[in-house]
Amino acid sequence: MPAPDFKKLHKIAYQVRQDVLRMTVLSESGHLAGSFSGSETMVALYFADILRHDPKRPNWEKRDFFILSKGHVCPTLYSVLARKGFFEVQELDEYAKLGSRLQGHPHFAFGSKHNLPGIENTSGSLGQGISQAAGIAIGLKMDGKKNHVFCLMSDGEQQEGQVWEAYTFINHHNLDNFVGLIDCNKIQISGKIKNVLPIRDLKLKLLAFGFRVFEADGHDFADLIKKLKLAKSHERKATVVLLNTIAGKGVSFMENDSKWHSHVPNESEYSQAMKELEIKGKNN
Amino acid sequence: MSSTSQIKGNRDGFGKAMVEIAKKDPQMVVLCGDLSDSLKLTEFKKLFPDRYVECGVAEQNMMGVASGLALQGKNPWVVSYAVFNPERNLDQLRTAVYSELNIKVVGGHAGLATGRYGSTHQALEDLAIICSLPYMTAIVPSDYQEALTLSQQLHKIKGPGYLRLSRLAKPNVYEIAINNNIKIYEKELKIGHAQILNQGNDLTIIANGLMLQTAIEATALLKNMGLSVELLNLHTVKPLDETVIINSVKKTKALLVAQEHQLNSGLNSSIAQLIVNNFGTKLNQAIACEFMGVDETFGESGSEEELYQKHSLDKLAFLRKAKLVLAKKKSLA
Repeated sequence: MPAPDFKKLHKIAYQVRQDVLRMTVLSESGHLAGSFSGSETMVALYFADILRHDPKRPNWEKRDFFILSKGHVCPTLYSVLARKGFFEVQELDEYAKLGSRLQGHPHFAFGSKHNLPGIENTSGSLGQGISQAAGIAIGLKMDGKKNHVFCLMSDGEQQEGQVWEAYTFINHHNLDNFVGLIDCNKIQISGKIKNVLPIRDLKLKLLAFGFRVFEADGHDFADLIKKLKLAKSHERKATVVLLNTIAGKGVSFMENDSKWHSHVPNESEYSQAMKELEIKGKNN
Repeated sequence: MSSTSQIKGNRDGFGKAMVEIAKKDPQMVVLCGDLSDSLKLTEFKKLFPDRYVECGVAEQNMMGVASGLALQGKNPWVVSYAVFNPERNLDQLRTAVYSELNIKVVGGHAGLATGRYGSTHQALEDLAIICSLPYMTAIVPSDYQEALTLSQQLHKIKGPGYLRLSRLAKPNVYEIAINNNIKIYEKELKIGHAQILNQGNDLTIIANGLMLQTAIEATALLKNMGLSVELLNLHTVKPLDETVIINSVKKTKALLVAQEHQLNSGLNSSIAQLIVNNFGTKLNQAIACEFMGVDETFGESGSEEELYQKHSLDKLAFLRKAKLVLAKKKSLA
């Protein structure tokens, strides 16, 4: 396997951010802070040979599953899927419009022909993706299949009780084909997580539940790819990767500011943000 | 101790159905939240240990795991008490239904007759919740045979479904009918079809679940009093069998509906809406209606006889309500 082209990945991550910003302004709806904090993670999964997939065969039996649990950052996933060739990039403009396959939070209807290629699950109500991922993982094991299931959550999402039910379940059933990814951007709608409802030492908690835990810099492709590859290596334990990220990463005035959890930029904010993303995308 | 404790009830029929379904469908799986003995899954667990997923007392995760299994092409049944499933995990079920997943939800210990456990274990809202969800099929069997037959039919319907079960075991409908000199008019049990148990012209009674056996006894008593009752077994609460219900009330012009559920919703409100919607088209005359159910309160500990009596869901309550609805009919004529 060729060494990852970090420069190219960086460029894609910033192209994705520009897509997301444009979609957010066009639809007057979106969640920029979390969409930007998770950009490198989703780009790494799809563009750095982590997630086994084929854009031409979205339902390929041998694919790895990507379950987005923090559904509000779906513009990032939509952009990554479009840029990877699952569907036309042009369709991104339909995001959150009436009748669109790109719903404001992802919708997957079993057996429907209207599904957006690459979308595996419905999400939007936090805390549910991990259980869906666990169900897929245990189903694969029942059938003796080797596919992996990745599930991307947020750190604020760890406030949901269901997540902890699922952690117990996953470890009891030895679902070593499960990889949890937690985008730790440290904010939620009302402010800093540490002020709203702190989740304290997540690593310690996850270890106590029985997980193998890795930490990664969520914006450094070298570190990300190394840890994601490690996570995929079976060690008869389920794995969680804690991604240290910056909310709103890439736009100076959005970084680490919870205001941008779901705020839509005005015209001048949009121009400045777009300019910054263009420049940063070119410089690595 | 109830004298009916040796009788096989609807939860036994459900447990048997799980074994029968599993024999035919290798993709069928069962998830349960630490209630496998109570909900009669002991034999299923023994015969199909690899297809039984123990989820512990974590019903939200259980529904999510079932969703994942359905996404993976399995045909899951999610089993617990109705107060937890679908009441505690409604959000997770709603997501599954929105995803049009093939998930069957089983709510046990529904209604008042849950032994002496009290209100925390007496689900009286589950049908209101379930009927409000699109794409849903909702089944309320009364006895062993109904649960056995209708569970197997429900499994064949792709998409979300709900099966409501009771703790109390009542004798089979046929047995009760024979003991009360009622000759069953229509024997076929089919999802979506209101079974006409007795034909009549004066009053329509609609019931399901454990109310059905009581309704048969009430029908016999009313017959002895010279009244001709049409008794419908409405085991399928969603979708409603509009044709049979409308044709019946058109004929009798008087309706009594009974359910072991909150009075204001579930079967009662579905039927009330159906009738009102048909005024001016299929119905050209007012229909006298009375509804039975738990009225704006919760259950409590007690014997089933005490609870049914207190909440006016016993045989005598049927007679009181019948008298009331027939008086209404007279004043409307």
